[in-house]
Amino acid sequence: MHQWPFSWLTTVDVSRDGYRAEALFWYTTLMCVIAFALVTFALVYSSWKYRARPGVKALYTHGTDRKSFAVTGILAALVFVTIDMNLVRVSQADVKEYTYNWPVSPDTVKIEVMPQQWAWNIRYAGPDGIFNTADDVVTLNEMRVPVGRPVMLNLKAKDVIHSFYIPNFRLKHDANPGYVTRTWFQAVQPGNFEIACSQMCGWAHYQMKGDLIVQPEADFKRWMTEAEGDAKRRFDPADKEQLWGWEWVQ
Amino acid sequence: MGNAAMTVPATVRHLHVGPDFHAEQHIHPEPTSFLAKYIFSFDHKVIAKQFLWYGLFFLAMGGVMAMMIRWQIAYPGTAFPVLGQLMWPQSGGVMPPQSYAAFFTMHGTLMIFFAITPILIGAFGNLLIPLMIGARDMAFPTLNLLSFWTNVLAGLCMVVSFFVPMGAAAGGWQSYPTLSTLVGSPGHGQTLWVLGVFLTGSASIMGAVNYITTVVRLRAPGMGYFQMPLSVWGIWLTAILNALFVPVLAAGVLLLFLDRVFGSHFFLAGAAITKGGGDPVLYQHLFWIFGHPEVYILILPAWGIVSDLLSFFSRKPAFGYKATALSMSVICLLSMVVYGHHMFVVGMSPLLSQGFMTLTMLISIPSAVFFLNWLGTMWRGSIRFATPMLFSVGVVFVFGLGGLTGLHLGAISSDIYLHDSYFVIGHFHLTMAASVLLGAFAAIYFWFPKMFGKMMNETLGKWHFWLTIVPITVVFCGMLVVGYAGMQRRLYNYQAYDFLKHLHPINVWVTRAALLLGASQFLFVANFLSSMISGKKATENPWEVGTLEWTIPSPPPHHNYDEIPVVLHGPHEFNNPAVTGKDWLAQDEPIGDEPR
Repeated sequence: MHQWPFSWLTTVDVSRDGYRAEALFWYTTLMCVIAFALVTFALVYSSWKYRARPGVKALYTHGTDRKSFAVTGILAALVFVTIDMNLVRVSQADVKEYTYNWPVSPDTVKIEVMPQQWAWNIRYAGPDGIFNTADDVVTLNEMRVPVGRPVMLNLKAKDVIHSFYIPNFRLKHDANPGYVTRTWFQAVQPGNFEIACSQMCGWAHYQMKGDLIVQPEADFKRWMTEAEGDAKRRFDPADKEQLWGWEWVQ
Repeated sequence: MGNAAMTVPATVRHLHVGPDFHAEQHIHPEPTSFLAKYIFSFDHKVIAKQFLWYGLFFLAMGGVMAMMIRWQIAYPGTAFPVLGQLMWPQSGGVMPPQSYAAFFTMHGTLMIFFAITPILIGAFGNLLIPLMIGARDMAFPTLNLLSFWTNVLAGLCMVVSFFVPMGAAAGGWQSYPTLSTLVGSPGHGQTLWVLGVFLTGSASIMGAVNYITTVVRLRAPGMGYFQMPLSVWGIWLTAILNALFVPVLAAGVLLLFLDRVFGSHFFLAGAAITKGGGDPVLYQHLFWIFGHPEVYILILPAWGIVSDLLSFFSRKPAFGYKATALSMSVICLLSMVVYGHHMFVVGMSPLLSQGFMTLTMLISIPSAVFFLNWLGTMWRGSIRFATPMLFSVGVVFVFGLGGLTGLHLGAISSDIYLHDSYFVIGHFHLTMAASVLLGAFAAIYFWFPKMFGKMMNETLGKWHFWLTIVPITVVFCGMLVVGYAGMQRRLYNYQAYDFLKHLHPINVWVTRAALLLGASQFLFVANFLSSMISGKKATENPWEVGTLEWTIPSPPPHHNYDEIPVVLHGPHEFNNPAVTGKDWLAQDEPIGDEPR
């Protein structure tokens, strides 16, 4: 587990890849603090040292000499190289290794999520491995995932745009009406966490809360078996509304 | 009245890059009727004042809404003093969630389009462009009048929308569909919002065309682009961005209007429609193609003004003037190709996201250049800390914070966590609200003597500065902190989430600072009004600076310049060794026996 400054402020990171956002955040923050300290120092120092005093004239320069150009150019280049290029480098690696590197391993847990005003509809494919069939496990506002396996989500909104946000995983992703978007995460420790909506979705946006229950593999399996049994009993072929799922998008 | 162009010696004429259009600026008689003089005026100075009053009105309205939003965050379930009882008697003065959503939506909309835009672009654009380039008025005075009155119509749409059934728009200031279509927002409030934004956008385009033309065509002889004050540079670049990108927003909201009123499906998808769906994300693209340049549209005038004021009060030429002007221009170009960083979590193509991230980071280079130039201007100056200077230094300070926190949001992996959180709110308020507001105050304190012929009170001004800069920094830095802690924006009651409950003390302190910030603005109002009535009479050039507007009386006569000035120097000739007896030099003032 990584240790970050001010950890009391934020939620516990229980994900395999959340450290990436944190690491980049704190690197950027450190660089910003240094840059801002220098700017503030220059502001305060100049304000005090060069305040108007009788008999002291300002220097007459337009700052167009070679030395001024060189200093400005070197400092701007330094900012770009030490801060920006590093951010791009690290972030490119992050998205390549994690964000856009969707899991393909067979043990991936696949879940379809369809938010609506103001709830989270959640669907597992069931024993047949195919979504939108009678054996699908469907829950409301409760997502269960096992520890240590990649979890991939297909998101599609029913009515307005919502955003699936799990702070303990440093992850959020929009769910749009009309088409499927994808995201993924992997938990490293069990526990009960909150699912939040982070896109304004109407006046009760603040109440759009779900539970993310991360369980050890055995507990998850037990729950899933039970839920699959329930699913078959509960399925009503006459109720077309029940089949809100879609063909899985890898 | 001699033709000014004929008196220009050959040595000066080659400096003048524009055609001798100034010769055609006739002096019109001053209107005498009240209506023509104060209401439907063609005079850029009167229109500037109209925009100022208009902008200050909406600034106050948006500000009160901000206080009420903060009140709800810190003290949910309690009534906002006095106003709460008046607005929501049925709930005992407690703001209901629907009103909360309408308030943050309208707070953003009013502040951006109806407060910042009218004050910095409408008022100071109008006041400064002709005065600073030595023109008698704008190139198109009628268009100028139309621009203001179109804005008034737009403002009316917004104000009226609070009183229609189901209330004002409540889908966020971006009004993303499908929430902003009939699926999520029935009622006329959102439709009026769309109309209002479309109208104010049209007014902005009118203004932009006018500003661009005026700068290109009406510069006094001798005033090349690099003799223009940086304020004019900032406003001019803003006008160019407005002309290019406001039409994109107009297109977006027009399609939204069609969806809402005529049942088209441009942005509709999902369960609401059975066939032939559109794409709600298309609106986000249109919105942010405009939206990213918009942040520069709002900040560029303030950058320009601050660049000038830092030089004026440091009694030193602007350090690296050309580099500052060119950096601002480069930022305008970059602003056109970075908008995708607002959309890292919508599920855009990975390749696009990575491209937008890389381009975004390039903005650091020009930003670093003009920041260094600002500091270079103060270095070895002889700094006079009058109120406008305090506010200018304040802009550098808060914009430093705002600009740097943009880095966190420009990189994809940190943005995914921070997206739609209070970190974003803190960041963009520091850049677009705090720095622009402080820049606007700097401009008002500085040009008030030229506008109204009276000086503002310095003591009150300094109190106003300190009681603004401290709380404004606390408010928006506090938002950065709770944002990092994970708090999403736009929550009526964040305590609905367990993971946010411990942030309560920070949120309470942010609210307290916000209330102090709001209260201290009464110092400004008192100063502004009392100075207008009984302020010390302003001389022609109270700040002892050299730009052209300070060579004519305060306030200037109806036609500004009896004779169009001939520009001989740049705008920042302070402590020029060739000048004796004073430390400044007017732009049209010859040095020694320099030919005129």
